[in-house]
Amino acid sequence: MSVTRGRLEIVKYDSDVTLIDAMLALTPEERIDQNDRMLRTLEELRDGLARSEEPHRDARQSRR
Amino acid sequence: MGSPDLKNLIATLASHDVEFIVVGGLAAVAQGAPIVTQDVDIVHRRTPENIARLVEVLVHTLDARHRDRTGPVIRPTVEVLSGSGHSLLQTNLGPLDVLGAIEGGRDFDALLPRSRLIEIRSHRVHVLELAMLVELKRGSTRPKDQLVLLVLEDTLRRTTEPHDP
Repeated sequence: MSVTRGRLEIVKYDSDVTLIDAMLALTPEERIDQNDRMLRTLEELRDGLARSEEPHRDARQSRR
Repeated sequence: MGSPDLKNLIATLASHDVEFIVVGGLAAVAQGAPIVTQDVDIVHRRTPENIARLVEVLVHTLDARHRDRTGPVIRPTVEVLSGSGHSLLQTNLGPLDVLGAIEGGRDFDALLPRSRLIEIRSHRVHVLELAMLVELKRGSTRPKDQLVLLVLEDTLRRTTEPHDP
């Protein structure tokens, strides 16, 4: 995603569809569904990162 | 506490006949802004009947409590929700900010003419219109709001101007 002259656009590869275009193609209810899906994905990423940090943290503590 | 289910949170309030306007990030999302928001912000109508319905659903259906994790569990009350202050709550469907009024003392009745209706699970729900959200963000100096403002302005342009050929 890039900001060009105050307009928000996705980097165009083979599509002229921007994120806004994609959102506007949905109903309001579908847009909120999309937000909920993103929240779940972010939560999974956060959990995964926390789990992957555990062994490193344990190793750091055992070296002290 | 499970994953946030903000759509269900709104639908639950609406299904209990609570009168409210969705403001903030989720109102922008509902109108096409490509942002992600983690909570629901609502301004509720502050009539005794509506506040009673709101407290009932918050306490008995949504297990709502104030978001202070360090202290004892504090439930929302009629007294607190009758004022113009902000109650930052955690519910079993995600974070919910219940606002008596927002910037400039704007309450439900003041904001209603600047709202539009959307449908969520067959319920008609008021959301603050995008142009008003942009006005409010323009008045904010918070860095986070300044970033979101750019996206909201672009979304507003796309919804009010004719599309490029």
